[in-house]
Amino acid sequence: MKTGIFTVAVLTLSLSFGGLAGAQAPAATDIKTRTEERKTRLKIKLDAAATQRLSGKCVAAQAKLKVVAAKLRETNDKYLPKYDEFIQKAEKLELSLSEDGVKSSELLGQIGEAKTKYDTVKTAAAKLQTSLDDASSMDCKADPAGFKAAVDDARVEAKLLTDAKQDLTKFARTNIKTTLQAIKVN
Amino acid sequence: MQNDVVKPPVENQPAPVGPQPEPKPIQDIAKPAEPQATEPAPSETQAQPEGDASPEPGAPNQAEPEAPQEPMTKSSLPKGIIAVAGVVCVALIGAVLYLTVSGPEEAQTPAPAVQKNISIEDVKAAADGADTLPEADADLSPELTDQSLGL
Repeated sequence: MKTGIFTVAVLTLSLSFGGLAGAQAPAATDIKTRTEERKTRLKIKLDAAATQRLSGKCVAAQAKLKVVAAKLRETNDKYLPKYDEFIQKAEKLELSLSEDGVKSSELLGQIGEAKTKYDTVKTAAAKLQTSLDDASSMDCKADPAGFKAAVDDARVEAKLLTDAKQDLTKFARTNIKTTLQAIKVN
Repeated sequence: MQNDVVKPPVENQPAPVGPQPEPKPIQDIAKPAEPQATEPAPSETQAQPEGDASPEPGAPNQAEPEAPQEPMTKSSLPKGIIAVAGVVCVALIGAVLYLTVSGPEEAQTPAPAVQKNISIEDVKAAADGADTLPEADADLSPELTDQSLGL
């Protein structure tokens, strides 16, 4: 019995420290790995002329990319919490309605859908931020193809982020707001 | 040691004339009225009715209790308890019947849309929250073109 308790305690401690060590470990996909993955995925192949052109202009472009990356970080910090706050407020309201015996299954479903859309927004924002940070900080002269891949990836992610934000905003303003207004009328 | 103190002195007293009562032991002096279990005092009350397991030897001429009075006292208490229990049972049955009949009617009463947990203002605030969400903020695509980046 005592041996069993000791074994469980040791196992628990091992898992705890193992989890902490895993959380503190550096990410497996560093900038070099991500760059190679992008070049493969986007099939980036530069000829000699394009390589020379990019190598000469990429440093200046990186300065602009840093501004864009900072702008994105500021925008995310400012606006992403608004989506989160709106969803949490709707969740709290739905819970209160349930406690009052008011059925709000439609609102509950819409909140779930809004959460999924919000996850898409957050994922797109994070990917865009990573692409911009990589493009603006890498050694672009040594790897112009990797720089081009990061910029191209950022363009794709920027489009996805804009679309995801518009989708979530439209859904909240039409579906969820309408449902809430119907509850108010009742 | 205690016996020496309590016992009357025998040596310096004249011998009693005639039969003298035997000196009682200390136990008898301390508890004169308590009967001995092994030697019940003979008395005329031995002819008591059966069932009386503790005859009092100290009262030989005590009159027998009247038999009808004691059963009257004992039977009156259960009757009172039965009466109170009956009233309680009737009250409980009535309460159960009331709750059984009135419960479903209360459950069928439709609840209003807004009760104690939320208010109209809460619902309105949540609905208006959708208007505070960003429209199409910071579309960065125009800033990422080759022309914008000088590529």
